[in-house]
Amino acid sequence: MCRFIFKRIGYALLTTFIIITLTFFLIHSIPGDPISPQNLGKYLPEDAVKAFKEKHGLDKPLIVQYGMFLKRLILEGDFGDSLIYIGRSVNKTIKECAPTSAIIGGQAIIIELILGLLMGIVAGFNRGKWIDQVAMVVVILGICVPSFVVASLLQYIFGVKFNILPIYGWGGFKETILPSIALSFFGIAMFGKYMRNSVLSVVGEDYILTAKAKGVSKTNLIIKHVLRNAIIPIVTLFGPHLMFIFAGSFVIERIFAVPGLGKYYVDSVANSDYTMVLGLTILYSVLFIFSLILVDILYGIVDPRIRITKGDR
Amino acid sequence: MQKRRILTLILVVTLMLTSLLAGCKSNEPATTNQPEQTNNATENKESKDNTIPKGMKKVNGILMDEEQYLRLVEFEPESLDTTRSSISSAWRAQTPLFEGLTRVEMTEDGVEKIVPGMAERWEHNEEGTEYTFYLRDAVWSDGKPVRAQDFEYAIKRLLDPKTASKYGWFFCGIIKNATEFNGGKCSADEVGIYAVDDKTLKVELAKPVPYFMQLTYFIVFSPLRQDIAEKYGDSYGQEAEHIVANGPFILKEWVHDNKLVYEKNPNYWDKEHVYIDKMEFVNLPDDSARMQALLRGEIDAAALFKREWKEKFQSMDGYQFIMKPLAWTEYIMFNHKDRYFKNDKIRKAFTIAYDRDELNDLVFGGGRIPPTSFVPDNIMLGDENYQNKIGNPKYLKKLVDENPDPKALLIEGLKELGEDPDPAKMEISYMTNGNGDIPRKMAEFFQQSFKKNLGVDIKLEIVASNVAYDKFDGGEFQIFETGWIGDYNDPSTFMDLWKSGKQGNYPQIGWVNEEFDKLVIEAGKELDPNKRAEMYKRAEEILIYEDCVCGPYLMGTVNTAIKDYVNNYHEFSFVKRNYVGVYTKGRK
Repeated sequence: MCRFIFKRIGYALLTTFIIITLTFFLIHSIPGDPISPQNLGKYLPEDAVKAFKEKHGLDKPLIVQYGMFLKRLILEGDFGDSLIYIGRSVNKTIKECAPTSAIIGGQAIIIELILGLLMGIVAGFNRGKWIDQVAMVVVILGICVPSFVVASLLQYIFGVKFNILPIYGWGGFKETILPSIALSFFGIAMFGKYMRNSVLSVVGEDYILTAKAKGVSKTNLIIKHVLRNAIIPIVTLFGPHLMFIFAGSFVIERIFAVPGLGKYYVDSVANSDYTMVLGLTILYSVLFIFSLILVDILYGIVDPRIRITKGDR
Repeated sequence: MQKRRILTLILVVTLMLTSLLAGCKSNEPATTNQPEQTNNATENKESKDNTIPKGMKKVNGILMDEEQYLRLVEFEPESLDTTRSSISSAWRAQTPLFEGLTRVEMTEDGVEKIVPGMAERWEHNEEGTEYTFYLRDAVWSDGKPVRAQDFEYAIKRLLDPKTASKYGWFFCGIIKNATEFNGGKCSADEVGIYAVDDKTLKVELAKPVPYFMQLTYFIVFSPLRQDIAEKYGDSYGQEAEHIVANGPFILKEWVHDNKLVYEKNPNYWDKEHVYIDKMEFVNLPDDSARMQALLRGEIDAAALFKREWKEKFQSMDGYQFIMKPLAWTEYIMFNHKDRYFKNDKIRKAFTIAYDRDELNDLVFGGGRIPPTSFVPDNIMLGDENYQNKIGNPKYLKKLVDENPDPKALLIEGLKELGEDPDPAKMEISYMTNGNGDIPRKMAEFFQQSFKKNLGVDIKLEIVASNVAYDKFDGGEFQIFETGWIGDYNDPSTFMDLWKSGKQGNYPQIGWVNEEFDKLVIEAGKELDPNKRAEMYKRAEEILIYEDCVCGPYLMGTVNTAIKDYVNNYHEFSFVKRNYVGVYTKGRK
C-alpha cells in the first residue's frame, strides 16, 4: 500500500510539473497583458510600459521568465506578487481566501452527501412509487436550474421574504448557510441520481437474492450488502466533484459576496494576471490530483476486491 | 352692552384661535415626538427649537442622529497606495484617507468648487508656470505634521520608473522634467517639484498649464510619508495597518474582498465638519444582492445599473435618486486606412445612421445620455461650463440634422472612391469590445440599424476585449467601439487623445490633421480661457463635424439610490467623494 501511494505521489508531481509548464506558456500566449488597455481602459506611454515590464520581469524572453518562475517556486515556494493587485502576494491571497472557499465547499459537500445519498437510497428502494418520482423531479431541477437562479431565489425567500438569514457578506456561521445550500444544489441532484441507479443495479444482483434467501434482516441487507456495493460509483464521482466544488463556486461567491478564491480564479485569466493564474492553477491541480489519490485509497477501504496492490507487497 | 359684546367677541376669537392652534398641534407629534404641547404658539415654537428629540444631537447647529455611521458599497481596491493605483475602485477607497492640496465641495447650486485642503493658500507666477502652495498646520493620523516633503516624495515616487506606476504618465508634460525622469533620462532632483521648507511646496511646470489647479485634488496628487512607504516596501498599501492617513478618516480594518472599515480621523484638521464616526465599504459585486441589501436597509446607498431597479427606487418613498453625467464618452472608431473609411462621407454616414435615443433605451435601459457632441456636457473650462461657454454648437446633432438621408451620403462617398455605389455590396465588419451581454446587444443594434438605414450588411466579430485590443493595435479592424473617461475637469483630457501619431492615444486609426494638432497643443498652454474655448471649439468641429474621426454614441452617467436620511451626499464628476459635511438624520 505504501509503495502504491509513493508511486502515485511521484506521478502526481510529474503531472503537476506538466500542468505548470503548459499553463505558463498558454497564459502568456493569450493576447494582452496586465497593462494593456482592456484592463486600464487607456493606452500607457511606451516608457511606462517599459518600466512596468522591467519591474516585473516581463521584458525578458519567455523561457527565461519560465526559469525564473520555477526557481522562485521550487527554492522559496513563492508564487510571486499579483500583477493587478500591486504588491499583494499570491501566496497570501491563497492563504486568506482558500479557507473561506473551503468552508463553503466543505459544508456543501456534507449537505450533498447526506441529502443526495439519502434521497438516492430511498428512491432506489421505492422504485416507481411517488417518493421516487418526487426525487426524480428534484434531480432534474437540481441539474437543470443554474446555481445563480437558485442563489437569487434563496436570497429572496430567506433574506427578503422571511428576513431570517443574511444574504451577503462573511463573518459568522450564519453567513455561510445560504451559499452552502446554493452550492450543494447540483451535487444533491447528482449524488441522488447516481446513488439511485447504483442501488437499483445492486438490488438485482444474485448475491442480494442469496442473502435474502439466507434470511438476512432487511437493515443488515441494506447496510452490509446493498450500500457497500452501491457506494463504489459514488466514490469515483467524489474526487473530481471535490475539485469542482472548490473551483466552481465563482458564481455563488459573487452573488453572496463571499471573499473566496473563485473571483481570483476567473478574473486573473481575464486580466492576464500571470502570477495569480499560475498560483491558482498549481493549487487546484495539486488538490485535484491528491483528491484522485484519496479516491484510490478510499476504494481499497470500501471494496477489498480493489486492493490490487496487496500482491505487490 | 357694547363692552360685553366686544369681550364676547374677543373670547370667541380667542377660542377659535386656540382650537385652530390645537388643530395645528395635533398634526405635530408624529414628526417632533414631543409629549407636552402648550396652546401658546410662541412657546410651542421655542420648545421645538431647544429640545433635542431622543436619539438626536445637534452639532454646528445641525440636528442629526445621535449615532452617525454609513454603510456603502465599493469594490475591492487593487491597492491603497495612491502612487501605484490606476482604477477608480482603488481611488474610491483611498478618498476618505488622503487629502491633496485642495478638495472639492458642492455648492448649493450644484457647482463643484475647489476649496483649500492641505494647502491653505496658493499663488502662481504670471506665465502660469510656477505654483507655490502654503500648507496648513495639519497632521497625519499618527500625529506627525504633514510636510511639503510628503508631496514631493509622493510625486517623485509616482514618476520614478522603478515604481513602475500605471499612472506615472499623468504628470508627464505637465511638471518640469517629469517626462524625462519617468523615461529614465534625468535624476529625481531635476523634477520640478520640491519643498522650499516644511510648509511650502513649489511646483515648476513644463509649460503654462491653464488647468493645473484641477489636478491638485486628484487622489494621485496626495501626499505620502516616505518612512511609511519604505517600511513596507513593495507590499505597501495592501493592509490596513500600513495606512497612515491625512484625510477625514482612518482605516480600522480591511478584510480583503469583504469590507473596509473606516473611523473618523481624530487628527484631521477639519474634524469639526466630519460628522460620520464610522463608515463601512462592503464589497457586494452582484447587482441583485446589492439591491436587496438596499431594500433591507443594510446599506445606505447603491449604484444602479438596471432599469427595473431604477424605476422601483424612484417610485418608492424613503430614497433620493441621483442621476448625473460623468466625464465619460463612448464612441465607435473607424480605421482611416481602410478601403472605405478613408472617406469622410462614409464615416459620417455610419455615424448618423442610427438613433442614439433608441440605442440608449434598448441597450442601456435609458440609463445613459445620448451625446450631442464629443466633450461631455459637465466638463468645465476655468469657472464656466465648456459647452455653454462655446454656445452649445452640438456638432454631432448638427451632422445628423444636416444629413437627413445617410444612405445618399454613403452612396456619394462610394462614388467619390470609385467603388461600387451599391451599399449592399460593401464588406464591413464590426469588432466588439468584449463578448459580454452589452457589447453583443450593441453589435446587434448596429447591425440592424446599418441594414435598415444604409442598406449595408455588416459582419459582427464578437471577441473578448484582450483580443479586440490586440487586433485594434495591429490595425486589423474596420469599426471598433471603445471609450474614454476623463481624468480632470478640462476639455484637454478629452481632446489630447486625438493628437496625431504617438503624441495622441490612437496612432492605430491613421488619422492626421495638422490644424487639429496645432489647436490642441496651443490650447493646452493658453492661459486666456476665452481663447482656449475658441480653440477647443474649432478642434471639436474638426473632430466630429468635418473629419468625423469617431462617432460618439453615449455619455456615461452615475445612477445612485440613496436613503433619504443621508444628507449632503453628492456624486462628483472627478473627485470620488467628499465625506466632509455628510450626516444622517432620521435613520430608524
